[in-house]
Amino acid sequence: MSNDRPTTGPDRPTADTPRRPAAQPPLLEIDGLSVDFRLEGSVVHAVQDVSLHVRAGETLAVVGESGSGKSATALSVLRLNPSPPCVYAGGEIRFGGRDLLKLSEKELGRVRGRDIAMVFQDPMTCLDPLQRVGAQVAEVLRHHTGISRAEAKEAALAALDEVGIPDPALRYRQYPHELSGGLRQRVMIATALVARPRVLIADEPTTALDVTVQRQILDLLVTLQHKHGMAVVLITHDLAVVAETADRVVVMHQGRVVETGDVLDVFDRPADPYTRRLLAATPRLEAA
Amino acid sequence: MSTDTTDATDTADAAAGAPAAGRPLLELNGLRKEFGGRRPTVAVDDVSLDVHEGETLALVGESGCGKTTLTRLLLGLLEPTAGSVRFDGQDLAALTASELRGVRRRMQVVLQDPYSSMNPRMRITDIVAEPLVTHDPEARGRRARARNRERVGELLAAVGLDAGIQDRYPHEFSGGQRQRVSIARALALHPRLLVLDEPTSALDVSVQATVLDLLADLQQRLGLTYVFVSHSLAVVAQVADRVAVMSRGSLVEVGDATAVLRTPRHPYTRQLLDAVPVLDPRRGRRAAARASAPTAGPADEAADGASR
Repeated sequence: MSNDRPTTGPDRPTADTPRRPAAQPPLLEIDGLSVDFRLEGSVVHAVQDVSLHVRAGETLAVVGESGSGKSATALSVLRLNPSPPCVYAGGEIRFGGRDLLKLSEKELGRVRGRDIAMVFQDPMTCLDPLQRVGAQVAEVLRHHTGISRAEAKEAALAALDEVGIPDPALRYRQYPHELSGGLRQRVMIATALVARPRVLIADEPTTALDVTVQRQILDLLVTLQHKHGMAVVLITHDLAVVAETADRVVVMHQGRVVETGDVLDVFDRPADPYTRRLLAATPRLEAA
Repeated sequence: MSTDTTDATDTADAAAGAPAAGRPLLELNGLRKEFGGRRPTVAVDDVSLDVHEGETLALVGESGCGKTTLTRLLLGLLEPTAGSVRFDGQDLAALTASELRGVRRRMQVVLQDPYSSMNPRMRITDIVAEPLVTHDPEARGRRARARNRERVGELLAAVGLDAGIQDRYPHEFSGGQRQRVSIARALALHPRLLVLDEPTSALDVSVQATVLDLLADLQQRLGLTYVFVSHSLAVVAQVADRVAVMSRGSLVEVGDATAVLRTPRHPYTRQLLDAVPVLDPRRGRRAAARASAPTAGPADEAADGASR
């Protein structure tokens, strides 16, 4: 890719560096985060004292049911919770030696999409229906780097190709409504990855998709992570998706972390009663 | 395409050896539904299927495969382009309007979205009593009120809700509770067949588990027959006696649930099954990636714990 940033330093892992050396410090670290939603006269403590971290090349899954605070936690990283009513009541979100919660909007704007990118559940609410697909991918690069229109187009075409979109030149000129759900999801992933972020936060990226398309998108995320050595934070309600994609898992319930650990340990020996309940409630194919 | 799929259906059916005693409660024969004019879209293409009294038949397939159109045909809400639907031996197309109303009391539907499937301005008591009022003249008017409330109380109790919630509105309830209200409403007329169209897809897993338990319990107590539409093979594995797999408007495979899910015959069924994420962290691509990266593993976690 022509758009690889020149800032590649020793902490920017590539595919051939060891994937999780023990000494490697966390890339993104949330420490004691509390998020409140202050509505007229009442306060909802959506996230309470949540700590988690993720390293380069690692996938951390944050799993929980609706209202567990998993999405509010994920959105806090780039301060995307609607504010008001959202108030970041406590804690730090450390990335690259800085507390993201203390950055100005302008400073944070340079992190969003460049160092840390997000993928959401519903591509239709994320992509602009009035803009051609290619322009939306190229826009990320134009915004973050000084590259020319032609260079951005070339990079965007390469990004569309990388996420497995057939005939990228055709798709580049199309509008989101002309694409299937799976293709739109791929476009959103291309948009997220085109600036080569070091952290990808994926909030229920396959929940709206059919199971065969879900399989393709999950495989794609694993492949791209392997290739670029990104840290991935995967927000999901589906423990089976966690089992297949994550290295470590954080289980959230009612705004708190109830359990965290290596995915093998948590699935083999869930320590918290809520985790056990969740595992027991998940339907299994083997039941037939 | 249609010849080899019918073959698959026949052999699977024969292998399942399912036919229970007597005639099926629901018989679909060569059902076809086209939408649009000169170059119509074929939403349902030559579907033949029997559903027997007391069983759960799961209808699975991906979006756009025609599952929902098929349920609308079997409920008599859409007219087939060709083919027939027989319920309890009666051909729906041959019935008069009033006879059709009679049949419809015996088949009810629970829809996926518990938010859009009830009028937000109606009280729970009126929502659950609506089928009674629609189908039974005696349930109308002021004097029927007390009797309706009593019946609604029974129905709510049957689905595990407090009879005291009758005067409340849908927005006061969670998705799972609303789905219970939908089920209570569907049971109001003592139906024999329930069409459950993705009844738990909008629910959290722990809530889904309780609603699936409730449905199993009701089926046993009331001798209900279920047509259970779902995109989730894991849910189907838990609830179904038989499975019908649909793709592009046709049934590609029908048979005993264990047989279809464990030893699928049709490539499409296999493809669907292979795509289902498995609740086992030792399988899947991530596990393979982990294995190929020797530095990653539980050993890191120990170091990680120490550094915190």
